[in-house]
Amino acid sequence: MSAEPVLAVRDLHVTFATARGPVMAVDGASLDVRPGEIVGLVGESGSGKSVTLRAVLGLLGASAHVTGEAMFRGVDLLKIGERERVKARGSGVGMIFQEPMTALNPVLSIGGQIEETLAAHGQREKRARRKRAIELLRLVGIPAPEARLGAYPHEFSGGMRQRAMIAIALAAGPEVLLADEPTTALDVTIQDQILRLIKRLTGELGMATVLVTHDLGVVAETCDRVTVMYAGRVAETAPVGALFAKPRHAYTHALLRSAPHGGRPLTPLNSIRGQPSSAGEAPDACAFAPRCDFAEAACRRARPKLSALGEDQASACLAQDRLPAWRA
Amino acid sequence: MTAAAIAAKAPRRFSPPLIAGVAILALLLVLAAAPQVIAPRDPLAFDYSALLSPPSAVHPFGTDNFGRDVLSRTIFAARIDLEIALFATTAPAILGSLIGLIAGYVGGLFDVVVGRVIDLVLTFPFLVIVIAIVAILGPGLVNMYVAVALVGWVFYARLMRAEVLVQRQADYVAAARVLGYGPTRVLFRHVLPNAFRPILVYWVTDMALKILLGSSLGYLGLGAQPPEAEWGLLIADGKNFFQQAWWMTFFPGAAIVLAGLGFSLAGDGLADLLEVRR
Amino acid sequence: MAPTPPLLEVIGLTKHFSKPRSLADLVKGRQGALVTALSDVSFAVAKGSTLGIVGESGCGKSTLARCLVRLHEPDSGAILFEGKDVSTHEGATRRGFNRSMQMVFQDPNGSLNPRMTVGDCLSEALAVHAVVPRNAILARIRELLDLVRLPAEAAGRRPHEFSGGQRQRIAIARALAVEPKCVVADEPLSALDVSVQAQIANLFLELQQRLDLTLLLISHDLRVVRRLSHRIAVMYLGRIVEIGPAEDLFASPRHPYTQGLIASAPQLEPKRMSARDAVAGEPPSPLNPPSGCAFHPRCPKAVAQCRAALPALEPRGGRWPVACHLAGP
Repeated sequence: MSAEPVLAVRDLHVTFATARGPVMAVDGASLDVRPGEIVGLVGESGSGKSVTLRAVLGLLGASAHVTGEAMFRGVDLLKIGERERVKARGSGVGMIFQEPMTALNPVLSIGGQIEETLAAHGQREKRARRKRAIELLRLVGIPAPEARLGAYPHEFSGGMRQRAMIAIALAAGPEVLLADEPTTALDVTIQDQILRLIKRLTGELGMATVLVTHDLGVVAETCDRVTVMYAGRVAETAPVGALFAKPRHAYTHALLRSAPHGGRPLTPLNSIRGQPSSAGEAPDACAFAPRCDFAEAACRRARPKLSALGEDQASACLAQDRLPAWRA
Repeated sequence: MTAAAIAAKAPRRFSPPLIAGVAILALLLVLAAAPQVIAPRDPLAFDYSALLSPPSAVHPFGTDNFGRDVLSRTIFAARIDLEIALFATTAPAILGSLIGLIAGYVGGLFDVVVGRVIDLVLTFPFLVIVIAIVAILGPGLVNMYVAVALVGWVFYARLMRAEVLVQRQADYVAAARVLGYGPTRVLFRHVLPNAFRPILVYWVTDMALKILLGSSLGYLGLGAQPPEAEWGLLIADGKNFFQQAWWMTFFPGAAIVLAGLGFSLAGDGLADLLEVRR
Repeated sequence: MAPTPPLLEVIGLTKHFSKPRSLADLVKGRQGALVTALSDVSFAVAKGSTLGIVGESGCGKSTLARCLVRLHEPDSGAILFEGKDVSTHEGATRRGFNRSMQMVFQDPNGSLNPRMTVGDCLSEALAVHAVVPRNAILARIRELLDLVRLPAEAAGRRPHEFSGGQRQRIAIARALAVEPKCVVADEPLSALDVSVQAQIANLFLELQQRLDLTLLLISHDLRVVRRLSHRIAVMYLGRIVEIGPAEDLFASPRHPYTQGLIASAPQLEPKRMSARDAVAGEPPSPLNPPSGCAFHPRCPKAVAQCRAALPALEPRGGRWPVACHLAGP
């Protein structure tokens, strides 16, 4: 299954200008997404996962300095002007966010927001827009959609709001869906429903979805491929089965080992010492080395390169072949 | 883009407004502290040979109708106006902060009453009330300070109350209560230190407003009284000679603008420094 | 030999919040709508053990936590601490009780006073309750920092100079400063990075062993709760629906909601997600709770009785208490 990627991000670097000096957020990230697949982008704070997503759509603001390329339909999204970017947003690349309450306009009804997107992307007839809006609400599993068209965001529950946000994102028929921690703020039973919805829609509509999350469990159950980020860099990328069977980066290995899933109750977990690094802290070394049980001198001397390990698989870890089984 | 270009895009903590404002205030402070040293002439010295003379090398700001050097008078007046900035703001700030603190934290009937009083005072134009009170009490700076204290506290109370309402929800306040700290300790050792930053910023900006207020009242004859030198009084002295001797009103007026600008810029800069939303 | 009485016992705890009346309500003379956050909650915790309390938003677990440390006043019911009812204590007696029961909050950023140094923060707790004599305060601060594995130099720094995990350690040190017998931890790991959660989880385990601490661990993350608790209580819309030994409850959950909760918690098994929703529908609004069993609209096994009658939390079938008609008499 080697279709061409719909979105190909290469060598992304993002630095923010702040009152306390330049702050690096992404230190060389690359990402591919193909139609009909869900790629997980997983990392902790400082990993740069959310910034990567927002950089693709140009949502970072004037204080961000972005280099690299993000090829979509033969166009580099990072280099085009604002007008083309606005056109690409929504109809080419859609995005859903973590907090539906702040991402939705509180003074417009849900139907109004869907129709606004439809109108902005060329649908001129009011009746056609309304029909499509109802279709979309039904597609995302909102019951009695005709009645809910006129409802406002605050009248929806958290899960329903997230579905509404997905409907708005899908309104213009994007080929790529960027999902920035869409279920982190939701209850676990609702998270389950929304993740299933995203999976179903990706399959049915043939979209290419990037799912940003910090939860490896979500990645295991939802994604086809996964990219693990640490300190603004890509640590490892692999098909999800391969990653969970045999991680090839010490960070992924440590994360899996330290998870509370399974393991005997009331026994200590395998913790990772220290706290997550931010991008740019260790320009000439592996960012994870200070916390790593498998680090050697070479890891501290130079930044390890991302080396290919096979189809769709790569790791930037010198210990990639030395890691033991992670399951107890 | 280079690293320098990236850095140039960043907002700064010691921002230009702060630096400019502090520079102006420092200048005024020096003038107020030692006017005798800085002023070239005695502000009270009459010079009948140079009545109403325009700005020159000898009298850079010209002279007034008694031949007094306007520059020296303006410099000597700085002290009074800076005093006004301080005294007309301190009592309202402390009184208002205290009332707002208690109203915001304790709530209940006290808060409701305070809220209504604030609303009531705010319906009147501030200048008009102050003038009305000074008219009753009699002209003079002290009476002006009393009048401002009586009505000016509402601005601080409103601001403090709003901040306290926000801080009250914070977990560290809940933690202090769970740790068994009494309400006084929680209020003064925990809530207040975190709520006073916007008050501080407002206080500095308020000084600019109070200088304007004091000068306005001085101009109307209700504030500083002669022979005290105060910029508003100087403007009043010059108003009858505006056609012939514009410099009598212009330079004290410019001083007021400069002082107002200095406090405003310092207030903005302080907001940047303390990271307070404006 | 008689079994030791539980350290903490909660009996029939109920808490309502009234929604402020809108202008329309005032004009029409309507009462403010009542939201029942806790409804007849009862459980016991043995000394030195951990009770995990899980549930989703609206289940009342945070309200329960706050009632236990007296941030909220319960409307009815009793909280027995070492046999004595503390739910009615006021003023100075209540503040004395605060020494016995402390709380660790979810957000380490918000739960520490940003203007106080760590040392000031800890010494305040020690001084106000006169835990140690004045001249021993500095030494005790060093001991507390050591207990949570922070360096002694931390005492001179302010919260913003620390990472999230370190701030949580400071918050734990502060709670421990007054030498509580019981600590209520309200989602202590949720705001932390995944790689740091394990550190703090281990800290809780270690402290429990060293200090014989009784712990109430509140979390929405079942996976963590299972690892750290002796017993688990599952809450739904203000009531406990199941409460039992952690491992047993996980292995064979008896309440349909517990089953759904466990099924929906993502595991590290690729593609485990099955074809059907773990739990359908939305959590009910506390303003308009369903009749009978609150879970019946979403329950795949609901029968007529579930809509008609509220199932009591009782040991059914001779095993741990479950509030479900289908679990037996």
